[in-house]
Amino acid sequence: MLSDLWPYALLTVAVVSLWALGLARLGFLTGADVRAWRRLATLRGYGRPQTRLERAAGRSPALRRLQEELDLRRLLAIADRSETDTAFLVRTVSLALLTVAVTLAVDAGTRLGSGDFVVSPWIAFVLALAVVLLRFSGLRAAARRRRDNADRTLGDMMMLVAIMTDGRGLQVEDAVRILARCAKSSDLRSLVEGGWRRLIPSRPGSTADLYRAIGSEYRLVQFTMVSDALSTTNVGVAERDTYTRVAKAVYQQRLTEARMHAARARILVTLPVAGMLIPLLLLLGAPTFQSISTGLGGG
Amino acid sequence: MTLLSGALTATQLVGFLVVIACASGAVAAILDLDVHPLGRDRAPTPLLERERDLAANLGWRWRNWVSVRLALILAGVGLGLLSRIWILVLIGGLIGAFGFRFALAGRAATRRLRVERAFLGRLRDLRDRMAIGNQSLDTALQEIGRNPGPELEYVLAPLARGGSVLDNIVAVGARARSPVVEYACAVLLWTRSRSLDALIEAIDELLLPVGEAQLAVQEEASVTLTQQRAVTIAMSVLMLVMFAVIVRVDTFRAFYQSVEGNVVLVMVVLIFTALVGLLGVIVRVRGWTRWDLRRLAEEQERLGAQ
Repeated sequence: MLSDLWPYALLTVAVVSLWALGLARLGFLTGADVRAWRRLATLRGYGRPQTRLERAAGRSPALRRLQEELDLRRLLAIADRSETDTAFLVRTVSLALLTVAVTLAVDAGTRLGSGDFVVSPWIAFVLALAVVLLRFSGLRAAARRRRDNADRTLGDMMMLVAIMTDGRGLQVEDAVRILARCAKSSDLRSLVEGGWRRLIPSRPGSTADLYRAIGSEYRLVQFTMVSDALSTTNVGVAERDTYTRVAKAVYQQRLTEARMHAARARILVTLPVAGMLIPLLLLLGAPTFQSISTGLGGG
Repeated sequence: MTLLSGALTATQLVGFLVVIACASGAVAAILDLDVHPLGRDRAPTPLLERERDLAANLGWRWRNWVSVRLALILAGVGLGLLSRIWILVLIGGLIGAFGFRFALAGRAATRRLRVERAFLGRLRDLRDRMAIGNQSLDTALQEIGRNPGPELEYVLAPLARGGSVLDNIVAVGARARSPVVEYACAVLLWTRSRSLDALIEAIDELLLPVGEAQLAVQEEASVTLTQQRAVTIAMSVLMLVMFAVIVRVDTFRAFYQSVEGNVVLVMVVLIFTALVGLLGVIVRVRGWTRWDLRRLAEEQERLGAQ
């Protein structure tokens, strides 16, 4: 019986080795400092030239998007997870291997008892793959949630920022930090209180530059908008007017988005509504079908 | 083999439990799970907060809301037991827990919109009292608190009792449990220590236009949400009625008491829940920032003292 398991064990080792090789080739197992040195070397012309395939990949928007979506370091920073990208990968691999091991052990155990596998051993690999996908999709969802929350909180505080900078003479950065502490969601607070350092190693010269960098690195539209507003206040436009306009623009944009969303939803809701007939038919059809088939069998 | 045949000795059982505990520990270590302290100062969970919001938006006391929910869960379980279809005990409990909440969520949203609309009207009143009637903010707030109108009777009650205006504004925000009211209260907290003209300007230029925009966004979403809820409730009622009718036939009843029938019922519930979830995703309404007004008031006082 154990001899039957050898191919699966060898296959597991081969898959894990390929996986590790792929990660190493993609640079996930390389330290951040080494990656930075390599990037510098490439910039100065000492690095190896890009292959034709790499250049084509760089030009393809879809591949660029995929690369961004799978950029673990960025995703972990946006999701405010304290682990490094290597630690995340090691954990994911460990969990996938644990899933394979547990599933194969349970399957082998049932084979010892009943003489046959309950399910095909391939299921173990499918489950392991599902674990990996779940880990990645969970991380992406956490990153998206935090980005939405931070963006929304910053947009919602603009009116208060206008009052605080005008009446109290506070700097925008201080006003944003104080208000972020007063929001019930902590997503913006952790970002403005130093969390931005995870993707922006050195502090830019001004608050406008810092907010522009946060907007660009963390993909937060509101930060870019505030940064543009800050630039206009630097040339003499009153802060109160500027941030009031930003607040109004935020709500105008949300109203437009809500209208678009509502128009699209009106069409899309017909699909699940039509689908609700399926459980109704199942509820009525299942006993009817069973009665007919029993009747035919009995006849 | 002995283990698989079901005859577990005490030592095997202990060994089995130790292996399970070690594996759980290993998984917890891999996932870096943290055990939260069970202290009293823990932040309220979002789920509980949403329940409290719903109760407040319906105008129900929290205690009544919890009592009705528990009573409905018990009623659902009781009906399931009476049917003698055992899976219905679980399904009845779930319908009691979530069905009632789902049915009233639309009503709560509509009532909240009414309260918010009335609140913006009161803000206009406040502005006129200060601009035309030359009243101070404290006096104007107190007078509005004495005549709040039927929609805002509970929400604005703290304003009528006098005392610290700061605390009263915080109490209004806490009672309303509405982002629009919380936001307006936050603006009042920060502008109240400035001149009356600045406060009137803030209401004219900021609070009223932005409040109107906020309400317009919510109303836009609420139309689609109401339609979706109406369809879902109609389909749920239709399914319940059809089910109640068919289980009166002995053959069908016997089918639903069998294992196959229970599996069909579970599938029906799962498919229906998935479709309702999909509807929710399609018409998802964007949330608003919620403010900790107590903290805002503290920050305002701290900066005012500097």
